[in-house]
Amino acid sequence: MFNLLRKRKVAIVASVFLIAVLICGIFAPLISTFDPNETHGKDRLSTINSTYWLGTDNYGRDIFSRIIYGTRMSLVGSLGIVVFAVVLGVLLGVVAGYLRSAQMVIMRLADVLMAFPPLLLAMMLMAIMGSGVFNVVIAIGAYYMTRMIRIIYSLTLKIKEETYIEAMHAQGASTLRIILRHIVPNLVSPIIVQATFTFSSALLQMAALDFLGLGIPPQYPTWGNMLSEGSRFMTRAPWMVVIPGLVIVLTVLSINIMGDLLRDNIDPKFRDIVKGT
Amino acid sequence: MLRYIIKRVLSMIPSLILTSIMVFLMVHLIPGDPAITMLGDSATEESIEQMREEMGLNQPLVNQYFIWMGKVVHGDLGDSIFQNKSVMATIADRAETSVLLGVMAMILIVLISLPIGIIAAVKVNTWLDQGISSLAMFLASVPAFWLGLNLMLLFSVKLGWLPTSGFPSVFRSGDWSNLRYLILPSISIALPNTALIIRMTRSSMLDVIKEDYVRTARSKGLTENAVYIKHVFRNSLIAVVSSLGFVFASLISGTVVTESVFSLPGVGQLLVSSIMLRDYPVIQGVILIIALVFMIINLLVDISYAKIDPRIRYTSAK
Amino acid sequence: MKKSKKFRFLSSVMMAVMLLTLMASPFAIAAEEEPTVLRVAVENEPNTLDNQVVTNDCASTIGQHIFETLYTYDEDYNAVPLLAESDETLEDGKVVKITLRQGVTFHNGKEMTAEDVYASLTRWLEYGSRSSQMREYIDSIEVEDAYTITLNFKQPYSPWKNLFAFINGGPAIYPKEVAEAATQEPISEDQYIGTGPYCFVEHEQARYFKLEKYEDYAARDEEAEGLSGDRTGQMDEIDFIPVANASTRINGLLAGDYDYVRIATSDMYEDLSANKDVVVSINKGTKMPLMFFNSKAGIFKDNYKLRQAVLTALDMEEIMSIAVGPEELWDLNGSINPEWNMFYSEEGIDTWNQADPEKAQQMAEEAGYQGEPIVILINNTQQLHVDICTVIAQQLESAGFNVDAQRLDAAAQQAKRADETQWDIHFTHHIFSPEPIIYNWMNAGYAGWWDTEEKRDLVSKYVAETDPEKQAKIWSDIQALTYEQIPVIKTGDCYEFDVYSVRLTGLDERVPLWPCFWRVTLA
Repeated sequence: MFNLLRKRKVAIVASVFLIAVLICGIFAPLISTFDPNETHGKDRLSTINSTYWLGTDNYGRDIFSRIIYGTRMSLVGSLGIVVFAVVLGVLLGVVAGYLRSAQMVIMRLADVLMAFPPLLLAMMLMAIMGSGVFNVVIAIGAYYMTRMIRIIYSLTLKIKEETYIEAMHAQGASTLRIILRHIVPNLVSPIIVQATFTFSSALLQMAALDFLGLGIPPQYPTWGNMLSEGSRFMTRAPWMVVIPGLVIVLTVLSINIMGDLLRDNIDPKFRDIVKGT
Repeated sequence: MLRYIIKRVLSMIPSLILTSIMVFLMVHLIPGDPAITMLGDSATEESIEQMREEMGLNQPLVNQYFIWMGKVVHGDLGDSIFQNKSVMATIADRAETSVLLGVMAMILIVLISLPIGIIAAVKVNTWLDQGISSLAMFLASVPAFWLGLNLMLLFSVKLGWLPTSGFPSVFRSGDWSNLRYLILPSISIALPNTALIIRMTRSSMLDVIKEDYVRTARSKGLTENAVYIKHVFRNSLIAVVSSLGFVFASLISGTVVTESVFSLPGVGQLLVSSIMLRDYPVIQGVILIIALVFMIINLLVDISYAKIDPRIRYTSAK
Repeated sequence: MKKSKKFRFLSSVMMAVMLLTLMASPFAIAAEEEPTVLRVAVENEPNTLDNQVVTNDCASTIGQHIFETLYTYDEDYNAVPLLAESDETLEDGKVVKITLRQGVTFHNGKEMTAEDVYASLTRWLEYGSRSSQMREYIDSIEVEDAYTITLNFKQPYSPWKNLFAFINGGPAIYPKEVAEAATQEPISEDQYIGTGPYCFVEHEQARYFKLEKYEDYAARDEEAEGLSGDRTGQMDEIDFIPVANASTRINGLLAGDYDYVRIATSDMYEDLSANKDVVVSINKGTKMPLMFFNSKAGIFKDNYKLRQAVLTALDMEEIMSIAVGPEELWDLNGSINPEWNMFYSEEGIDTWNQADPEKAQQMAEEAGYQGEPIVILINNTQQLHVDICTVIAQQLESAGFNVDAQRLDAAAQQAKRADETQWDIHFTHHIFSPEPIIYNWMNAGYAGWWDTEEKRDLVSKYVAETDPEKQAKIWSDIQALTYEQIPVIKTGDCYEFDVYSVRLTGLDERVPLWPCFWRVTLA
């Protein structure tokens, strides 16, 4: 990993940035200068100044503190989506790849879910479940889960055909044991690559959902809901859009750089499958 | 080949049935129903209940599903509750915008991404390659509504070159200059999508370069350019085409945010407003059609694999 | 080699398409005598213009150009005759005789007579959105002759004229054939036949509603004022274009794609006021954001003290300044109707806007509140509601309330609030009504279900009173009761504003309840 980083200097910058973001999230109460939800009606829409380092929003809330606190829910939300997609995706994908009987059902279901436009799928699920952080994770995670299922499924099929796996079957090893000991470990690196891209794209999807008023509830600041709120004030208070927008872009960019790095160094036999994402 | 296609087409049927069940269930699980949205905020419970009865919403769900499916198998998607039109006509109205927008965005994506992706692959691991990758990723990270509103501010409000919003029909008026309404929306859809195709082009080119026949071609003494164009690019097209197909399918199914920003009468907006109104037949019909289009595009992509790369045989569907 | 040729061909076709697209001339071929067209960008796309059954404001904005009512409002919101010529009240208000104007024609060329009015009123009374109260009081409607119609009430009912003037959910007059065939479902587009200054031409989904000037419009003789008087159309055509995104509407106006834009957002107010190319026009009718309490179930049932605690906690100035913004766009007014209106009253409003979280906390404890979650249902498609509720939630929490703010779309909110066990407060707004008795909390069937004996007494006294001054007095008693039993809390008055090109003339300084464009000309 370190060797990889040395080869690409831009990746060093990206990883430093991501670590800084993580620190901000973990130590948010220490770093921020205000309670992120405290409103200052008199100071609404102030520009950058010495009290409000990055200005205030339409509720007079300190943008700097909201960005810092927003790190938490933005990262937790995206991470939640990744975990949801990976856990269910791997589970269903491996099962589909291994059990002929399950394959029909699972892959058909995945096909069907793929046919729903992702944002609309999220919209409908949100409408059914109501607002809430956990529901956002499920609504967006459902789409990434189906992508994960398809990838894991084709990887599993490929690994299954390897001679040593066939040999183990012949020796009478249990299926569960083969899956856990030999299939899943082989999937780890493609999963990580796919997960990084899911992470960054989930961050953007959450922002899009916020734009439709269906995202994370407003009492939890996220970069996404800050951005969509700011888009109403683009001419009056451009900093409300620019700051969260920049943070999102830089974070997504850094994660993608890391993901690219991982992908270029993945086992070539899986590259075709992982690439199509 | 023909047998393969028939087999694939037949396998769409169970998928479509499953889609119909899922969309039907989801739509009916959303709280609120068309009786409420039709009568509005001040309506009393009694009149809403009466409306529900009239609309047949009080029947058991299973019955409602089979009534709907009974029509669907005869090719009738039913009528919109709110528009005095069949669901088919409603979709046809909106398809023009979505298809034209999708095609224009695709053209832009291809024109931008292929050359850039090729350059990145040819100049692999130089500053140019890294610069291109970073720029592409930067574009992929820009939220669509932000890009859209800014393009509108610059090109429509400040410069006055292009209209801000709306899209008068091209087919009904026969006026192709109306396509100018779709220029900004297609740019704001295309730019974030170019990143994917640039990366695809670059990495599949790099994969092909390593293959034996490229080495052979080189050893035959072909010039570098000829090798790249004749062998590398053509052979890396497979992967590119498949992701282009995927992108196109997702564009057709509606680009909700961009359509909303530019106030375009597309399929995405139709779906959003139908969900808001709980116009059940329209939501169900649109999703079914989108699923069908999705499957057809997938099939076309797979067939085009064979056209590009004759080595691929139609043995079994993956 | 064959394939790369094909590829080259394809790419050159693509290039050609792109170039053509880019070069496509923006100039339309100028025809002789171009009809004058006014392009109005509206905030949403109503799914019907049948104003008898729809309460969407946008449907009334468009619809009032096509359909007319028997009465309408002048600039001060007094009900004045429109299709009616005159009226006469007999038997202490139990019988009302309305004489219609003669020579008024529908867009299908037929003259409007008492038969049409009878059919329209009948349909409205049965299915109209705002007719449920009048339905209880009316006994019968009779056609006396071609131009006279009589309303017989069971007991004197004074709000009838205001209700006949309020087109939103009100008795628009349709031809007899249309009204007789109509049910609870909105009438279809081919039946949009009215007597108004503009005819309905077509509605293209997500594109526009096209209206054309009605050449045979029978205008009133009085000078045009507000919505009243001479409504003769000036422009040949009006296009109402639904554009949901407010920034897009304004961009379209600034770029010259639209001439008039409905409802900009308050944060654009200062920039647009400073812009010399456009005129900013504030709506005269107020919009009251409202919290409805659940009177049927839950912790607020019969617990007026707890509701008063909630009221005590709220700082309306903070709510309005944050959620609305520019001071021109809101007023701190605790009275239900605004100061210039005859129903203005200061009765009971001293408990409004106390902004005292400590006192509120103490009151809540005395009322037996023990930290139960208070479910607030919010319509997330209304930005103003979301903004106000964000501040309210903050204020209530600092007074020790445990708030569970649930954001839902309009239909889900309405479905959920129909079930009294699901919520404690739901949030909505009303626009100003010259007839306060039609506000939704006065309707015991509306979610909130305020139906106490004291209220019923006052309401029956109110509707029977025919003397306006005495009636206003009774209304102020109703307001006092509203502040005692708190079925609803208003957070103030706010004003929407429209923006239009300086090239437009003929608009009032302040937008009426629904803007009208018949007098407008485009320079």
